[in-house]
Amino acid sequence: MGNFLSNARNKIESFMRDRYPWDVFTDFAKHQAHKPLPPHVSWWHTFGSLAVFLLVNQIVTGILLMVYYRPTSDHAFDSIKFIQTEVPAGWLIRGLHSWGATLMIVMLILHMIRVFVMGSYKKPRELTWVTGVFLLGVTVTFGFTGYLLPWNQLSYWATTVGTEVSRNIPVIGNAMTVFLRGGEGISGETLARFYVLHVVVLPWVVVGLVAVHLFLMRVQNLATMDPVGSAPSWPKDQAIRFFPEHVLKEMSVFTVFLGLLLALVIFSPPELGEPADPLNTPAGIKPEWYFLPTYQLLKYFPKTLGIFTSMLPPLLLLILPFIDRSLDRHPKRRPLAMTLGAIAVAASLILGVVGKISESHVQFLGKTYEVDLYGRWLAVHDETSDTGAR
Amino acid sequence: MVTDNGLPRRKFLDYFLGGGLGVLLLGMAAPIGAYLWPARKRGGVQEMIDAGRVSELPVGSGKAFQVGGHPILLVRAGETEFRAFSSACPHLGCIVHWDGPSREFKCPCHAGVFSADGKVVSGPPPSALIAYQVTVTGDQIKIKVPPA
Ligand code: HEM
Ligand code: FES
Repeated sequence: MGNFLSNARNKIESFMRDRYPWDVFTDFAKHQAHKPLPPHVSWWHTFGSLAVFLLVNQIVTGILLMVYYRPTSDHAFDSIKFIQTEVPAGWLIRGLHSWGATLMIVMLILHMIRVFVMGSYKKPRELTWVTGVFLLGVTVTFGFTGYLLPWNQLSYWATTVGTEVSRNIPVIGNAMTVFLRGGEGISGETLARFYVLHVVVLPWVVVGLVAVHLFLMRVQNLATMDPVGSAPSWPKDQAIRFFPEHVLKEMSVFTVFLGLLLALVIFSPPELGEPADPLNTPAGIKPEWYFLPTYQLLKYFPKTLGIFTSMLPPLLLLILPFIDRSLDRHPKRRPLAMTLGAIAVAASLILGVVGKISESHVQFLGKTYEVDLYGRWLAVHDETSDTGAR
Repeated sequence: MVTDNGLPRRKFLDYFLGGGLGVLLLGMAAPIGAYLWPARKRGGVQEMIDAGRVSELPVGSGKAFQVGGHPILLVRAGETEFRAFSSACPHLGCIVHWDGPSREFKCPCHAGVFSADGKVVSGPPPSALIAYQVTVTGDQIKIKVPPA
């Protein structure tokens, strides 16, 4: 058996050697596999590869879902229901895709925070950061287009509200909304457009961007914590080899996350809800959690002002490496950047939570409060008068 | 080598080929753009459509239906007072519903409230509901709606 295998291996090798510069290939592979990484490379540096792992999960489960999913307004809902209830392991594939999307966004946020805290976005890695911000944008667009595909009440109305917002963009807003929707309202045309974006256009864009992102990261190696401009000062014998040391860390974290992903799918399967009804808007339409901060922000800044306000954070993120040109990378020596970063995270969290509980009833310390549109609290004294009318 | 106007021949060729390629690509992009722009049925004037019978619509009640993709609400606010509106909320497009007891339109999304004549009473909507013309002949209610 072993003999047969090594025979076959030799045959393939000599076949390749006769035709191609085989050593160039193998040297490249070896060099990549054993690439020495700086000694401070830690568990925090596994978030990026976890994102790659989740991306692969999205692609594989997405292709499987396409086998039974039908992107028409008549059949979309039923086909998802069919996948969820009739197809063997369909619930698993849909669950992995749905929860995988959520974890993907979580992972990108963690990855971004780690890159921010360690100052790795600074010169010469500005473009790695910029491709990263685009990747975040593309991933969120994946979420937005994918949300409509089950064609249920929540997805239909969240998409109505979400695309309506773009009408407030000056001059081109109206045309843009019609273009996005494939007509005046959300219809089967919108579903077809979003489907094409979700399963063809965005996947190619994301794979291309990830290739560039990883290429840039590999060419420059991972950043150390030394200030910008100082020669990397780590002794070669302290290097961490990509394989096996870092890969071992990655595999351990993969395993933990695969367990978490499966637990979520099993104990909290994604819901399907009611089929979309264009004549009836249900109460409590909320976007996906990662849109909640923007959703809430838009309530305080109406119309065009809101568009500009909500464009500001992504724009700042995009040009961050070009505004923050200080040389230090270590977080202890960047108190201003750390404070501003913490404020940004806290503001997003607060806006998100307020967005989540706005226009609902909240129990707190035994009292019921009605939270209005803008997040103002009002104690409800007479509980019976108000629930019956809904 | 230099041409009459002093442009080196090689540069000229570069510009020529680059420009040609640009024009070619733009020419290819145009039909793609046109293709992606939502195809719509052309023409069409306002259309009178049947919206039911007076006897089937008690005073204070409302009726929701859809004409060519437009969601429409017909309400009978008084004995002879019939009104029809687009039920798409002018704020962010949720479907408002007629609240019979309070004689108001209510939007489920951000608590927009409109009076029986479509005007904004409270909440974030920036303008009144879009009204359609209603005519009643005998028992027959008709609404003039925009082309689909
Ligand atoms: C699909 C999305 C993404 C994937 C698959 C991905 C993958 C990776 C991987 C595997 C690494 C190497 C090690 C590490 O984890 O730090 C990396 C590094 C990096 N990433 Fe990402 N990333 C993504 C999105 C982002 C985002 C959203 C940002 C920031 C806005 C970003 C900025 C960076 C930077 C600056 C580095 C270099 C870090 C260093 O040199 O230490 N990436 N990325
Ligand atoms: S969509 Fe009606 S109040 Fe916002």
